[in-house]
Amino acid sequence: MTTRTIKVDILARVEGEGALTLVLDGERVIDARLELFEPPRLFEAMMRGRACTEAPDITARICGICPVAYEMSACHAVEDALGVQVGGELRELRRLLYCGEWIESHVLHMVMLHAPDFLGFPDAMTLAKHQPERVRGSLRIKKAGNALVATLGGREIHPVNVKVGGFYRVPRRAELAALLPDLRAALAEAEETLGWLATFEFPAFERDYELVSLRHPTEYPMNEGRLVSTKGLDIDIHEFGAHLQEHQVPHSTALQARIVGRGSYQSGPLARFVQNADRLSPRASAAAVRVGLEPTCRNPYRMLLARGVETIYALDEAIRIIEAYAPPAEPAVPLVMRAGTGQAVTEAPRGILYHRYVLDDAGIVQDAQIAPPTSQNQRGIEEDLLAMGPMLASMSLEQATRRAEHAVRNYDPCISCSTHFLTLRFEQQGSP
Amino acid sequence: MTRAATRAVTRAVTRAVIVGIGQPAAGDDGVGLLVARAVAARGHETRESADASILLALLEDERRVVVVDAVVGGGVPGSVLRLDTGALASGPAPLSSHGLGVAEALELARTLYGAQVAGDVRIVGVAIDPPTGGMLGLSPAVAAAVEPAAVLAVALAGAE
Repeated sequence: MTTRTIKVDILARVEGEGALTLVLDGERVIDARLELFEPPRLFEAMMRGRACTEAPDITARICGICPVAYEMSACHAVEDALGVQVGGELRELRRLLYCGEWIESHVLHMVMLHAPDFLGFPDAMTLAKHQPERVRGSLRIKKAGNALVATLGGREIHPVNVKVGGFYRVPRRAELAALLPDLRAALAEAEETLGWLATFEFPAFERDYELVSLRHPTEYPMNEGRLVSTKGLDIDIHEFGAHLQEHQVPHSTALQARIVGRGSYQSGPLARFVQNADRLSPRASAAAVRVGLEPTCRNPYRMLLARGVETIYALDEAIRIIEAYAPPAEPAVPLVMRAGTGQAVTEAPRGILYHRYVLDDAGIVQDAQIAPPTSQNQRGIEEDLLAMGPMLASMSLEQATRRAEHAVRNYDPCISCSTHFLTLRFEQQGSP
Repeated sequence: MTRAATRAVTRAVTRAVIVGIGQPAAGDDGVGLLVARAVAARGHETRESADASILLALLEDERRVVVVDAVVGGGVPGSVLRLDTGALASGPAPLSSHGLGVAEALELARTLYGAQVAGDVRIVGVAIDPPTGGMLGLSPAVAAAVEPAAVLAVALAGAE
């Protein structure tokens, strides 16, 4: 058997973590392994014995890029256990905070990380040299998202203002209104950006995915709804564990998730769009029509466009919420501790994030479960790569590596412990 | 007044913002965040971020910036270093939005906002061993470097 192996270090700076290995036999990919390190397991153990009110702050540290998602799922799950309902303006403020995170995360990924793949550039630096105005524009959009998170959350990373039941402090009307000019400018910029993204060439690749997302009676889903799929799943969040189960696989510290009786599934922007296109705002909906993105889409590369449509939606929704905002009388709903189990799913930028807490009668966490979107998407990513076998086998090692990276980037995997330490460059002095 | 001259005046009167970069779930990689917190406790303007894209927003606003980050290859863990932007090596292109590093962000800033803007960035590095996975908190050697790194960052922030 003649085989060749393609190994891509995703996180070359973290020893032994974050790598993609493909083994090809002729035109077939006989093995695809995406190795990811996943700190949520560490945090599940850490949450045991802690007060349930600490869950948002502690779990937000799992990921520096999507702390709002962890805070939101933690708050909703604990509130579910305590029988607390958070409605009205407090609920709207949570949605506004989530809009900020979607904007920041989506724009960074679309323009800085994924666009270079489509254009054949090695990285964002090369893209910036060729199309500086596009990159500057994307940074202005991101900045509008940053400002939302900083204003509502208290700071851009690990927002400290979120608590179970609501917020420590709610913003004044004028504080939010001050964000409107930049949000409106960012909305126009996001529409232009989507038009640009739609000019890219999308590889012809489709699979018969089971796409899973929340579905809310009236809203494009962020914080709540039933869990539905393109293959008939339609469950209350409390049935999550009976239908979606995690399995250990030998090559990864991340658990992989499957739908009982069927197999892998995918969540994220494409799944949300496919199942909730009728819940978009008119402006976001019109943008999807303009770029030809339809709910029948099953091409993971076109998830780039779904991300672009969601960016427009998040900006539009943020403006709507701010324009209608009247500060609530109290910043949070009072809590009464009691024993119980609480669960929640919210829509992180890259897919569904599930939290489950078992509390004793003093509100102390007895057990915690956290299923992040990337571990839920991981098996499907590997299956994409297996299906790309013939295409990859016909390429040089360098081309195949780039194409495989491009395919993984479709999902914007959450590499939680992605470290950013500096590496020093050493040059030999005086060498000939 | 030309744009360059306006920028020079703005910078002369504005103290630098100190930016801590790090991932708190990766052990010593989070040292930059803790240094930023120590500096904030002294009343300095700071930012904390898990990725370096925040530098682009600050540099676009023509802010002077002092970056504090962990450094691999910088000697004994806990050593505090003042680094030149030219000393940084770029990493591989990241696979997700979780990956933009300081070297990449500064190179982008040079392209987008000019060499002068990025050249003004000052960097404080704290030497660490390569992280091997998830861990909360700092090792004792790196924790001991938080205070001296904060002192150096403040000195650089105030310097013209």
